[in-house]
Amino acid sequence: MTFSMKKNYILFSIVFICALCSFSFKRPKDTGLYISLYSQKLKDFKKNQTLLLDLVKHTDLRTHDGIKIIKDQIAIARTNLKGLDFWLRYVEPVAYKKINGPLPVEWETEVFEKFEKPYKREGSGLTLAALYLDEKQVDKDSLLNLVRSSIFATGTYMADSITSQLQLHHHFFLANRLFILNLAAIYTTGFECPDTSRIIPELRSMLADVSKIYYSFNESFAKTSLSENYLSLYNSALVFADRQPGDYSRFDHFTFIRDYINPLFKMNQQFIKQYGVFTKSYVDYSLNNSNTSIFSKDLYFGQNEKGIFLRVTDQNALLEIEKIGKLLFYDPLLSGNNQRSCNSCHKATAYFTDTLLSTSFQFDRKNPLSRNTPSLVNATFNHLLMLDGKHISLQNQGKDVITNPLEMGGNEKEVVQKILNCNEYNKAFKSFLKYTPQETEITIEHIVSAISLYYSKFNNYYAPFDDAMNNKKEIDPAVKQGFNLFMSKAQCATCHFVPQFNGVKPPYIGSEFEVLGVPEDTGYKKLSFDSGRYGINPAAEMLNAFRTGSIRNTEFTKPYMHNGVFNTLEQIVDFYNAGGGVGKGLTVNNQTLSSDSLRLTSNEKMNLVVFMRSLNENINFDAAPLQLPVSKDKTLNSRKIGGEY
Amino acid sequence: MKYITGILVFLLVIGCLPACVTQPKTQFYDFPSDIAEEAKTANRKMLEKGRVLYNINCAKCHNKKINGRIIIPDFTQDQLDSYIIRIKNEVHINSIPETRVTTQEMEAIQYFFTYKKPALPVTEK
Repeated sequence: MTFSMKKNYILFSIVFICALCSFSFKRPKDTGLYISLYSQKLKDFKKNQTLLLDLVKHTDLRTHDGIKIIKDQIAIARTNLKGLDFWLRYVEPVAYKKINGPLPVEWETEVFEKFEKPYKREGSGLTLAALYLDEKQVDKDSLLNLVRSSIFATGTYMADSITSQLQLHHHFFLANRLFILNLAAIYTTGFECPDTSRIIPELRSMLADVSKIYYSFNESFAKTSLSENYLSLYNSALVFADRQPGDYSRFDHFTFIRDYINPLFKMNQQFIKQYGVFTKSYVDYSLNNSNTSIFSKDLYFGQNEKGIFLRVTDQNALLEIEKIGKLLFYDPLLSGNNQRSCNSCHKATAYFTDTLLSTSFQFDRKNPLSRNTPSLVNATFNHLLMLDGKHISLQNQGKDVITNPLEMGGNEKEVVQKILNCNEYNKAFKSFLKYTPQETEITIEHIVSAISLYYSKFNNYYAPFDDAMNNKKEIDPAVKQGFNLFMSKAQCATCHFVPQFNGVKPPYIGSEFEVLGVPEDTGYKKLSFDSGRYGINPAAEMLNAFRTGSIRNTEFTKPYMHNGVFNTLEQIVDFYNAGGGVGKGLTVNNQTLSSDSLRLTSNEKMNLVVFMRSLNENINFDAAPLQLPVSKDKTLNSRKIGGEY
Repeated sequence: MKYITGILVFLLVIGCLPACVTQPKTQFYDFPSDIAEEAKTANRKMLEKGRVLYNINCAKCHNKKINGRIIIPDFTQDQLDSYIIRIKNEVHINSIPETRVTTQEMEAIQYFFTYKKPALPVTEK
């Protein structure tokens, strides 16, 4: 064998082995177009952020022109970001806060963290950088840090752990669901776009970018593609947004959501079922895959209304428990003095609240409590309960009120004993024990669970606004105008999110807290003394912060704010229009509400109130029970149904 | 003589009876030796809750049958991390959502596995 023959032989062997290898390894699914679009967009975004960093380094930020150069580059990078938002927000929500965190400091109180202490996350990125440029003195280093940390976070999206998700179809439909929900709840409201003139232009470019994502997905994932119907409706949404006015206050948010976004959501939910999509992300934790409308009450799961009876599905059994829950709700035996029941403050025939007093009386019936009685209707749509987010479950909240010396002044053991002393309760709970094999005896948990099951049934009613959204039912044009204002100029929707209009925003896994600067009295002499969330999470940002409430049924749940300081919806609108506490001349160092006036006209204010009224739910309240169970202790049998105050 | 043997056997049976009846449950768990007796009693209540909840929600899929005996398998602490349990497992997403097992209940089950003796045979349903 000559040397050259030997060489040829080796070469041939190598080629053969290579060929063998390429055959024996299973080729990855051809996801080329889709993945390369992702990588390309990510590269562009990184490039434009690096450019921004260089510009900040070399531009004089003391001049007007200098600031403008930076602002223009931020706008370019933001357009890149919006084109990627579809993926970034879903596949890695923590890194996303570094790229587009709307607040300098955020205290996480999401569904997982509710079992732990809240922890602090510092935001950075383009939204904050843009806000920072509007400050009187701009410190170059701080600005550079905001951009640097955003560039660093962008890098994490190149990691294998993230790009490997993109190889399968599952993430796509879940990311798309979040995208659609955000189109309904935040993208058109300026939630994370401080320059309001950019909101609709950014929306348009985002819709167009996602259209490209859709086509590349269909190309790469032919077996699990978006249907023609979906793409054509999406295209109509795009055309609609293009034809609408570019000013977000004149944009028709109502029609956009009703005719395009909600139907797209429904179709995407069908894809999730049809393509066997499953999630491995906590982002999807509370969303319900079986739901078919954003304005249906089963969109997401907030609270376990059945408590200890959660595994009971038999309707008759649930009705039995609910019946006992109703009796308990009206029964003053739950209190220390056998005079006060749940119904004393949460009037069961009036939206489960107390409309007469700013704050109810304490157990001593002399001094007022520090906070207004919240309505129990729709309480289940919160992950954290109470105005300070103190409780994580309806049942813990119930136990707290029963045993709180300032509220019902009861004692856990005594209450259980008094309840079991009544034959009707005793018999019922003994038969309910079979539903809770983990419990050997009847406890306070059984009692509070029956109660929460009872009042939670009033959550399943709808308002005229829901009917208009779900079934295109006719609605007063003033409602539409009011809603469009609510979503734009009046800046309500940046805290009260669609569809519950409370502080829970997509993907509906956390509750938000805000500092509004609510006064002690309507004379605005001083700030309310209540430290709010600070009592639970003593962080400077949380001083005077309260959990954002729902505006459903608001007409019937007066008085308003944590201390019940306002009595009419007009007063509320006036408070926000002025710019909250700061706008009204109070000193609030950490107000999260803009202190600028909203400059609403009297007609606009009126329309806002009309819209809020369209969220009054058509609830069928039921009458009080005619009698309460008879106790073995005869002195207790003259107790008043529903208690007294 | 026959009588005496009979009485002896009878006494022996009687003597053994309580041991048979009271023996389970308390022997299921491995407590560190330095835990006070009252603390053990309080813990046992919680552990029993965890055990029953396991039987209701998990046993159907997780119990193993070895040589005719039903065995509750052992899990590592990592496997027991409650968030991970729920999300990272395709089957669990549908079988044990928050609407079927609460996080507090999940904690009781975890607690049971922390103190359970390794590979425990199931004595009751």
